[in-house]
Amino acid sequence: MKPEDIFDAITDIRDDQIEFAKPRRSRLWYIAPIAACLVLAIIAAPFLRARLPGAQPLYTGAAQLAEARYPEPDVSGALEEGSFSGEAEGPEPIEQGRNEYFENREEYSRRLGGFWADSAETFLTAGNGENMIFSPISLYTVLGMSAELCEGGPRQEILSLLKSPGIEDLRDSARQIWCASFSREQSTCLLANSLWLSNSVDYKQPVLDILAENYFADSFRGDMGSDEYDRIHLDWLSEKTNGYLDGLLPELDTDPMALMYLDSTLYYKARWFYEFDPAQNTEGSFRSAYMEQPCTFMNQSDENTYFKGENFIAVSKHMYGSQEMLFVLPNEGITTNELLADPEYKEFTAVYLEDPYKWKSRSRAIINLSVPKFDLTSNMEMAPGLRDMGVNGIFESGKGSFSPMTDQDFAFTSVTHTCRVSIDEEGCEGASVMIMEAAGAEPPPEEEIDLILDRPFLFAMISNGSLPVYMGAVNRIDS
Amino acid sequence: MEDMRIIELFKRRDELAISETRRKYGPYCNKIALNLLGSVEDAEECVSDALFAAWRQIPPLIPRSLRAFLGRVTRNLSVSRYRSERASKRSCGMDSMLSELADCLPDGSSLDDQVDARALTNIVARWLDGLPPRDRVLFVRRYWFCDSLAEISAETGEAPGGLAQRTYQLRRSLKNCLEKEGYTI
Repeated sequence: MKPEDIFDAITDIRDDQIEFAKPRRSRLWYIAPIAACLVLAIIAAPFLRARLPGAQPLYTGAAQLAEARYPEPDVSGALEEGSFSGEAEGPEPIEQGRNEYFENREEYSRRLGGFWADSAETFLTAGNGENMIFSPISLYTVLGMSAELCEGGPRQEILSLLKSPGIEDLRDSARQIWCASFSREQSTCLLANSLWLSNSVDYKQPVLDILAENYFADSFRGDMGSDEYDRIHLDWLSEKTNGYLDGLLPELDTDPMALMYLDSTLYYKARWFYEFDPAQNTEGSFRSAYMEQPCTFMNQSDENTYFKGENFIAVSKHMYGSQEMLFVLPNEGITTNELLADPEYKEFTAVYLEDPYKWKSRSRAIINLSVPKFDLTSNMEMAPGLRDMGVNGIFESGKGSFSPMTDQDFAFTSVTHTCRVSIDEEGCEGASVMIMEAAGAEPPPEEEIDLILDRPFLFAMISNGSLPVYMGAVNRIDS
Repeated sequence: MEDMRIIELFKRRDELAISETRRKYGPYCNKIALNLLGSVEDAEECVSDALFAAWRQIPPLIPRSLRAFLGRVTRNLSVSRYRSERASKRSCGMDSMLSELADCLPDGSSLDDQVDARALTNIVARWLDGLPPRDRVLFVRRYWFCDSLAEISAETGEAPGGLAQRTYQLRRSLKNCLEKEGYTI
């Protein structure tokens, strides 16, 4: 091997890696209309409710008790090319946490691969052919915050599930994962958390500070059930999801007896690196479990790597900012539920998130990809699934179990989840004339396959750093 | 002019494509070539050759990123020129680039080892994917765009000494990655 070989290898890195690093002055392009927009919000409401009626208020009014510090986008001069910095100049800990994550990325992948795959099976298995979507990294964060609030057996259950040897390790991991997932450059990924306390809770400030510093969680207190507190709460949710869930969130009507709500939202927006050409769209049918549904398919032919298993085939499609969307199509006759429980598929999920090229059954081909345009919503109650995964204590805790937070007796009662995900080919009309990769002297692969997602399939949105931002089972296409 | 319109001009064999490409990407290609070859004349010739290569190749090839395509062609032309004229040339950017990249060579590998270029590119691309964004940008800016550390420093505000240290660590990291992938004898 010669230095020239390395030079040549660098010459032929992917286009998106080049675009990612190009000098800042031309990043204005990235604030153009998006091609794909995925947004999810988890609302754990009510996550925690009073078991003891008649608690007396200890405080009055509403107040913020702890505040997360996010990097703010620098959009000064964004309308003039050459002056857009395009990069968030955040507090140093964000950069530090991100670097720490990447230093340990392989370890995280090995440690959490099973959790990602198991939670996908638990939360994406549909009962009645409905669409199921959830955010693994939001779930990880919510469980981490929950572990901070309790101790003893309930805490140990969570540590065991998340493969952390102790609460300090979990705290560090959650902070690093948050930092690694955070993006406001070529894509947007903002995981936001909050704690909403009743004025009747005798809270302990240190744990709120830990949540703010390590989980980027805001904390508030107020009169549970009051119009004022509900409005502040709803405004926070709307702001953190950029209004994308407006109209989908249930009217916030908090229970006056509740002691605490714990919210986690995740707002995500990205753009295909190679957009679909609207002129190539076709009308067709999606074969859901109970009917054929008319829908629009976006089509693209491209040289790509595909991954195979006994019961599935998978391809990924890149987005700006080193993000990707992985599409997994079960073989004919295999349902998404069956595939989610398939040990080989679970292994694939874990291996893919560690390093896709470690999966043996892969090959390059010209892939004729057809993806339905969709705009899906999903609502689920996650508490039964968490119990199935071994998290029981926080739902049953007796007095003293939540002593890091308060000396009062309470337990979690519900974990609700609302999510919306949409993809399309959006972009300037006629912008997607690009068909084939021109770079490189390699001949195109001889194999050509059709991958038509016209029946239920699975997907995963994977962020920079191989973190699963969303996973979903698309079982029907609702117009 | 937007890239899609430039490519439409290429497809229609409209020579305006050349002038529009030169206007938009000429300085960018010139910078890459100049950084590698260290000669204004050579760099200008490389850029002209790159534009001609674009004219010959588009169509049938349709680059999805015109920037990446032109930069890649310019790099290839620059390295070809460097190789053919190395004996008669004084020290240039390419020398220092290759000297730095020699740090990435796995221990025990031989200069005569035949390398599967496609496989090596895949390994480098995957290694890049695993880097923190800040390091990924630094590596690509230095070794793909061929920007000097002084230029990167001026943009990021990070001291050149610190950047040099980080690029050294990145080269060592790539070397370790290649060794893990079995690039030793």
